[in-house]
Amino acid sequence: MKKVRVLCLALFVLCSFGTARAAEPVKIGVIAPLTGSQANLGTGVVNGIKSAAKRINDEGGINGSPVELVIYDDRNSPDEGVSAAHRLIYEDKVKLILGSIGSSVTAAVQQLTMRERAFLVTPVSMAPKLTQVGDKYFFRVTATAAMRQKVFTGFVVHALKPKTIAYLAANDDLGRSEVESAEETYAAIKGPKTVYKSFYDPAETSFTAYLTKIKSLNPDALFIVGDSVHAAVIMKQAKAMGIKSTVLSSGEAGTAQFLKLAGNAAKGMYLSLDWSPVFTDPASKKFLDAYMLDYGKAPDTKFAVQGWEAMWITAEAVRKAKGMSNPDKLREAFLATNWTGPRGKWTFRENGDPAGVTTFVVVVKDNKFIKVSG
Amino acid sequence: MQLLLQSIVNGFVDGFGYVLMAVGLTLVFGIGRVINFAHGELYTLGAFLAVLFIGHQFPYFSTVFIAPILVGLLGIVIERFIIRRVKKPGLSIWAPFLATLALLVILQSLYLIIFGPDPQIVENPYAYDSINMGFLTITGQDLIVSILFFVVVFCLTWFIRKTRYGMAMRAVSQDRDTSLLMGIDIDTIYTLTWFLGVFLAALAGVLVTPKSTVDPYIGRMPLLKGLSIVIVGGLGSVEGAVVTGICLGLIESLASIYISPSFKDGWGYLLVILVLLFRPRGLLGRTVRRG
Amino acid sequence: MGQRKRVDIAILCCLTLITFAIPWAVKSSFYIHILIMSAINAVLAIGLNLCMGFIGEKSLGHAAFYGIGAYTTAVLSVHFGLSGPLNLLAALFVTLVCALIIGIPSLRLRGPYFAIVTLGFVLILQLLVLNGGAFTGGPMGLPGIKRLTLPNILTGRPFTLSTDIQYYYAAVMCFWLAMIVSIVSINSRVGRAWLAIRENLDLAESVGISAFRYKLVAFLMGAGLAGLAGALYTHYTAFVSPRIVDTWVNVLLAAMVIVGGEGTLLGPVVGAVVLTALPEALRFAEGYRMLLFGVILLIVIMFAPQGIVGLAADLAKRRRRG
Repeated sequence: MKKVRVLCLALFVLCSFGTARAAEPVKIGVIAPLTGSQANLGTGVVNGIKSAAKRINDEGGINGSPVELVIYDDRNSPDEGVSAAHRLIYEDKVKLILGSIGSSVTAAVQQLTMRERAFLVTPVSMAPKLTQVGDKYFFRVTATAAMRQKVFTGFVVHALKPKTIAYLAANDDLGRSEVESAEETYAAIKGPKTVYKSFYDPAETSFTAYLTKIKSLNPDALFIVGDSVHAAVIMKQAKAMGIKSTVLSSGEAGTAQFLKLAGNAAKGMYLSLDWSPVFTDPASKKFLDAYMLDYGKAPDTKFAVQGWEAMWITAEAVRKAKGMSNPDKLREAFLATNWTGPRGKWTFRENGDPAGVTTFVVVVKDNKFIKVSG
Repeated sequence: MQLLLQSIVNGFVDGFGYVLMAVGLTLVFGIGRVINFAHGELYTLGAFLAVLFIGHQFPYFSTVFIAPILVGLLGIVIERFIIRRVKKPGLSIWAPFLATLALLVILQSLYLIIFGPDPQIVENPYAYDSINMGFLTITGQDLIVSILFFVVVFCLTWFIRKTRYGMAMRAVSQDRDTSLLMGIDIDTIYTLTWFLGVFLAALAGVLVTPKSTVDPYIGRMPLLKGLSIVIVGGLGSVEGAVVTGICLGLIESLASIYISPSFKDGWGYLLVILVLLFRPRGLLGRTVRRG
Repeated sequence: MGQRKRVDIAILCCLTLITFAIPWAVKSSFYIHILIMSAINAVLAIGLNLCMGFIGEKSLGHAAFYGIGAYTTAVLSVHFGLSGPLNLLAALFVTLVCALIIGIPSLRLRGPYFAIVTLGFVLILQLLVLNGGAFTGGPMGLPGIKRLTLPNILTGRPFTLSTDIQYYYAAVMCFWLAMIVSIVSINSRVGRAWLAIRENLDLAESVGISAFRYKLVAFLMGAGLAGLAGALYTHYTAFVSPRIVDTWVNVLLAAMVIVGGEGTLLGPVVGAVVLTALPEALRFAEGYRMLLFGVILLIVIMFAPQGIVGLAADLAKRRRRG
């Protein structure tokens, strides 16, 4: 009798060991603004991450282990982001964090992850400084402004040939970096001369003051940087004022929401786009179908796809490195990334920036985005 | 020359919107002696209700009247059940002000939960129809705001000067104790004041937002601008709010064009500081004691 | 020595013991982080309490001094490589100068006027920082601030604070500095003048107390403490951004003082700890976190406006009587 009992106990212990190992989840932290002024961007990104995690688990997880997301809100505040990061690293024992959106939050969190040799993968933050500080464990799954400007500025100079350009951008790191890149690039390729440059508070709703001045200067081109909402409002107010300049925009406005909000005012606007919810290639379709299944509607902005891709790329890297216990091995795995997603093929440079992101130039016609060149 | 004219017109229109916010705030402070920090959230509520109604096929012009009335009723609820409770003697005189701060947080969070973070639009067919007079562009919405502004100011002035309640309100704002002695029902006056103040905020919300979009966070700027105007114009002075509101609109518009576009929102704060340092009672306010 | 004074001293002793002994009991770096932030917020709240609770003027711009201290340290570290005690002193100095510039004109005003003018200064400061280009880092802020290096009094060689526990003790020292400043000033002639000014300004002036001068002292003390807190914060997080002077921070600081109990010694400490820990504790209700926070705040204001410490004192008084 005793022998049987011991045998049963041994079997039980062995089994629990076995099941524990198979079920031990791969914990990944997520920090994004779910409340506060960037809530719609953050919610979009997190939706994308969640959908991706679900599909990854459906396909068997990472080497058999399911992905478990630990998601915290940072309210677009660096302090909250740092607190969340502390919690993730020390309480939840997470070794890799996806986040955040605003570059200031990401930069603050980066200070902690650098000290703790934890991985930080940002799906959105654009500030160039993030990859210039020598953080070996930081990767950026989105193009910087300079990358996006390369194709776009080439097109503008060759096809549209404006002699003068005005800039109207949001006073945040996206706006500032886009304008800086654009000016630098145009200066290098003998593009249009800057006649006006202004940064508006992201909470601004009335652009008549800026647009009035711009109208009086009558530049050939007007480059605006803002999300779908800002871009739509600026377009509407600009068209109502009768501004005739060709409008160029950074890709944030490339969404169905922008088309809906701007309506007719968007006609003739050129955008530099790395992805839009209207693409139909197989990778995009997989994402769009999954999103529709999970949330019952198509994504409004492109932020969801950024979360989706960041999650998939991370999962692939963790799979290649067989876990997250060795950060240097994981870094090698990231550098060896060769994955194709809705935004194209992804590979990374030594400093963590993506090696090349395909961007297209599109124009708004008949309430749709039509590819002009790519 | 064109630029100047357009700039002035813009300034006036923006100013009209500011005045609506400021008058509400100044009434509640002048009579109720409370700085309502949640004022911006009531502006937002007006806008959200407009989105809701118009989304259900209500015509815009009915919404312009109905939404502010509903929000005004909420104002009555706030006054009766929260503000009155924290005005009891023995409590810090700052309790009502802090209660409105807490309300700000509560309302904003509720909007986020109920309406979601995504920006929405107040559909109004006239909003972007513009009249282009060659050198000047005026949009349909600008006209609506302007006309309603004059209507509101006219009605309010008539109400305050000619009706019994209006005169009672003025009495309470000047001397509460004497008003009590004269038999004025102070509680009713407070409630009426809150209704009016909140009504105006919501009205501003319905009128200004068709030119842009609506989300839970649009109330911050109008509140800050409103506060600046109220301080500069004189806490409790309706005329002060009107004059200052329009001036602020003009200053912002002209300064953005001729001086610096990035500092657009700073002029209001700068004015506040300058005025408070050299003429603390505001342009048209009553004397304030110095310490 | 009255019984109340004995209780106060007992509480202070317990507090000293607790603050210094915590790292033995709490091992998780996450909780240490919360404690560090609580301590920093406590220093801010204590400073604000001197202004709000003791002279009765509600300042809505206290975060400005926090931000000035933080940015001074950040700029000196990132652009000039400084990271020692000189940095802290510089932060203190710049903050005090700014407090003089802001305080001298504003303190002549009272009540809501003073509150709004301080708010105006904070908003302008935020605009300046946002548009400061590479000097202040603009909207993104300044990352990569060096860790604090202090001279070791025993060996003479400088050592760099690098672990969370070390920063915890630095924060605790800062906290006790604030407490000592607070206690000493309240029990001195200055403190009695403040009380007189708060209770009846005109009467105080009539007996020869220059309200303005004493108000300025309180204001400067509060600002100096905030500046120091800012410097420490920057060295700890290695980061600063314009969000540090947001309107919301000011509101939160005022709430800490009120919820804790304004005009009391321990009130701001309790308020700081509660309001720093509460948002973290409420993370389980992720989507409703802010809503719960607002509701709790409203309930406290409506039903316990004297704050937690005030409420405790009232209850103790009632128990003693009957």
